[in-house]
Amino acid sequence: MIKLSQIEKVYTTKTIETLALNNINLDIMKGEFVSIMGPSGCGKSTLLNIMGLLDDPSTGQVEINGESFARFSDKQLAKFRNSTIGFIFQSYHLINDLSVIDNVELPLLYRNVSSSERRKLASEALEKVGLANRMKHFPSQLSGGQKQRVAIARAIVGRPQIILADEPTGNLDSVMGNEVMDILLKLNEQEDTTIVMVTHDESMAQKTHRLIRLFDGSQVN
Amino acid sequence: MLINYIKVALAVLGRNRFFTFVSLFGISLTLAVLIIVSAFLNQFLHSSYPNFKKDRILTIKNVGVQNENQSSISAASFYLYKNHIKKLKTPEIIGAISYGQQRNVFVGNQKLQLYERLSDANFFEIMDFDFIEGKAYDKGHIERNELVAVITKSLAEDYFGTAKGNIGKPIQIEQTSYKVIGVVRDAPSYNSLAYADILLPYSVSKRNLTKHEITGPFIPLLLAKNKEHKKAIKAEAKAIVNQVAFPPDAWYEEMSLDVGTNTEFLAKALVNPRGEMNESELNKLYAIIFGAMILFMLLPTLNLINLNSGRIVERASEIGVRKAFGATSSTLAFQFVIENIIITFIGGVIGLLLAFGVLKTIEASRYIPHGEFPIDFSVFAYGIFLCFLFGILSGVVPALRMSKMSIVSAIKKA
Repeated sequence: MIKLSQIEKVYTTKTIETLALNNINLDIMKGEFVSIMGPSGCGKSTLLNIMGLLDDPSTGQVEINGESFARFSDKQLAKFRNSTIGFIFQSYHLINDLSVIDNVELPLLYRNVSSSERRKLASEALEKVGLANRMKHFPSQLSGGQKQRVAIARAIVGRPQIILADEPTGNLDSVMGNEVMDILLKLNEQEDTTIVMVTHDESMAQKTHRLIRLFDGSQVN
Repeated sequence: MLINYIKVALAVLGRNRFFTFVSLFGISLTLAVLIIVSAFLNQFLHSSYPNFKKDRILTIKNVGVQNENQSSISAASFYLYKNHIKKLKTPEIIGAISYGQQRNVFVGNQKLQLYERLSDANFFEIMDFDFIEGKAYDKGHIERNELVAVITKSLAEDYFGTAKGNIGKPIQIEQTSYKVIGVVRDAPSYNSLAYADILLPYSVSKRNLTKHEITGPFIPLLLAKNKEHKKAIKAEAKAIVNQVAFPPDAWYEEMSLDVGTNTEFLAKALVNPRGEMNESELNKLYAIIFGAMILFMLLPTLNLINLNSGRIVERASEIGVRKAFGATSSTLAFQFVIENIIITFIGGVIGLLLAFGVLKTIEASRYIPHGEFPIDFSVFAYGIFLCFLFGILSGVVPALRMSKMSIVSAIKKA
């Protein structure tokens, strides 16, 4: 499903080159729930961004569903992300000016989906995360756990095959963190969604199928 | 999708009130000034009451006489008008109006200053005065040397105390009494061909109108059948200079004259005051006006570009998220331009209301006597066009910058 071959990422400034990822090779199967762990600054988020086609590797190749993206235009990449990948961020990144349901509809805005269909799919996604009664609320009216559940609804509304979650429980207390984790586990089990999750929390990582550890940009397991 | 953009645009406006105030203040003030200027230009350059046929009315001005040592420029004499200009074949109607003279009249102990002008009967066929009552003088009045007058509504009110019921009443101007036969709505003071408090037949002039002279106080008006016909009229009128016989005792040896619409004369005065009359000057004038307006818009546009660019950081998270979930750079650029157009439209509506208030205040103040500055369809359409232009100009640069931001750095900045 996701194949990373010899991935390297180098950040270059005028005076210094930093190797963020070094020779990463990874295969993630369809329906797998994989967690990535490692100390801060070891390249976890960079790896996730490259996997999600949000960033380019300096060298190496990313393949998803057998497709490689070196020659993809901005438009083609956007279309692929929209149809195949859902993102969940640590800081939720909801658009504060839009209501909960408008936030959830966002990925569908960039597809040819009618407004009534968008509303229907967004309502279903919010029901799955237990927030059907908060549709008209704005993000500022929600708790951290509720915001992250909205972010999950936004990630799943377009029924992507892959969900990439960057520390989805990082800003939440243990109760809310467990609630969010349960939703992700359910999604993986019931809908066979492939999930890659970056986390600092060993107990969360233990609930996933496979754990990948990074240290100084390299895979260590 | 558009509804989503509108929701975001309105929310962004409400979120940062200081930014909204600065943006809307700049936009509305600029657009108000531009709409006011365009309302003025619309009156000065295009048809305004009562010369609605302005584009078809040619005038003969700058009648000059000269010899080797000296020259003089004035309007046309009645002799020149009657014996040469009146005989032109190409115009549909030929009329004349004199330059005005200030006269004093007394109402009880109160002195009124009037602007008096002389005309022939055809003048009223060329101009479309609104008669509140009565009618214009005709050839019969002129042939019979009748002391009749057409006065304006404001003079009727000042002199008789009422705008209506004044037909047949006498009006005394410096020892001569004229019978009022018509009352018209006042022409605005900037209408140089029609503005007057009282219009009298040229036959009442105390000047010797039959005197053989070239220059005098009359402005001949030549009405063309259509716009295309003006060229032929100009050529025929210009040829008069070769046919006129000078008075035996004249000090001059040559004469010249200019033929054109009032707008063309204005363009010449502003663009090329010492040169020959030339139709291209009108285009130059329009280009200068358009250029000046663009320059005027440039400052608030740059200000808005600066403000919008500064807000990229504030909206970085939104940009990153939209891109991550499938928005392309062009979709985002389009969104931000649309948002900016919405903001400029709100500013435009405020500007339009502001301009309307200012124009109505100017009308009411009588600072420009009888000036009328309606925000008609053309001014409104111009305002809308300016909103679009303003919105696009001030939105495109920040939109392109926003849309080109990398997803990862956008999300990191949030």
